Amino acid sequence: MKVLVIIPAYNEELNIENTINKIINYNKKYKNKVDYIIINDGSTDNTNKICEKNNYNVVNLIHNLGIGGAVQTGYKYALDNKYDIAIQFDGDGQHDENYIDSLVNEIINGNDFVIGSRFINDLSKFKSTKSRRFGINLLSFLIKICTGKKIYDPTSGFRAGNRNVIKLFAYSYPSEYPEPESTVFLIRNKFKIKEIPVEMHERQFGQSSIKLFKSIYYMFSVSLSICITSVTRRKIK
Amino acid sequence: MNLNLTIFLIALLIFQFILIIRTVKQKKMTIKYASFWILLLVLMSLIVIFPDIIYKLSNLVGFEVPSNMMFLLGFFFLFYVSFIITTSISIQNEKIKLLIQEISLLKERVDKNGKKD
Repeated sequence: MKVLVIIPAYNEELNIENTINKIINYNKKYKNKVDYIIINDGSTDNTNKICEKNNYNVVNLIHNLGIGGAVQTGYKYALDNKYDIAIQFDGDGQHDENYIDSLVNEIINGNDFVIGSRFINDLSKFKSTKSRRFGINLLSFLIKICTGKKIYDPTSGFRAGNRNVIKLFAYSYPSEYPEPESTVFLIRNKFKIKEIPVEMHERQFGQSSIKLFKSIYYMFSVSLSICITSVTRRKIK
Repeated sequence: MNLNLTIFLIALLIFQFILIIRTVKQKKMTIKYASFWILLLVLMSLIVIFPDIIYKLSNLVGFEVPSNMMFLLGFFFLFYVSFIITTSISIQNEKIKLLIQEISLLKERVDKNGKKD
């Protein structure tokens, strides 16, 4: 099994070395080895220099694309290099490498797509702010209504997919509000999805990309994308 | 309709026509979109030369004054145009995204091969 960890990074000069060290540690500790690729999303800080200095595997996007376009580049890379499993792993230090193994195992057990979730049980101490949790619950409820399936953490960026998912996402992946929409799209197209509890940490440095004044517009747009995606059945190549 | 007004409007239309042709000559607009604007100008010229069309039509539909109908039509037309522009921007964004991704992946591959040599 060839496993690729996709690490989107936008201005993460303070976190990126830490994140890669996590992956290196993981490979020392676990039997299922993983490769990684950093997608440097047109960072304007020293992310690029740090990657070059340490000789990291990196794709430098020639212009900033946003999280959706960056992650999709990772899926394209996975497809080009014939990986069996691709895992999204944030470059900002939120995700815990010790759960990569659980995600990989769930794919090996026959699931198409596995989501690492903060909200299934109390494993994760860090559960985001109250207002954001309220928003996430609302999206979760909406997905339940639209698709009949309960996804506890639809905005989680810690996810793993098998070859079919890699193929699909390399071909089409939403740019703007990628996580909830792509999940609904997979449910709608009858992919086998599993959510497992994981730990997440607070961002180590820097700010989350979703700013407060934009959050209402964000909620409205994500809800709309969930509703529209749940009634569209696109043909899969 | 007042003769002065008619002359003024026709002059305005001619000016717009020249503007469109000039833009096409400078290759800042393709024929596909230019035809659209020119057809609109033809329609407007018809209205300027035969304003009775508008009076009769607005009476028939039930507008109190013809200008109300013109404003409403103009509003819907502009709404439609900006709608089309939004869709074409979205399509272009998608194309640009694809280009950025493919070029970046290619560069990565070239760099990696360069290091091996």
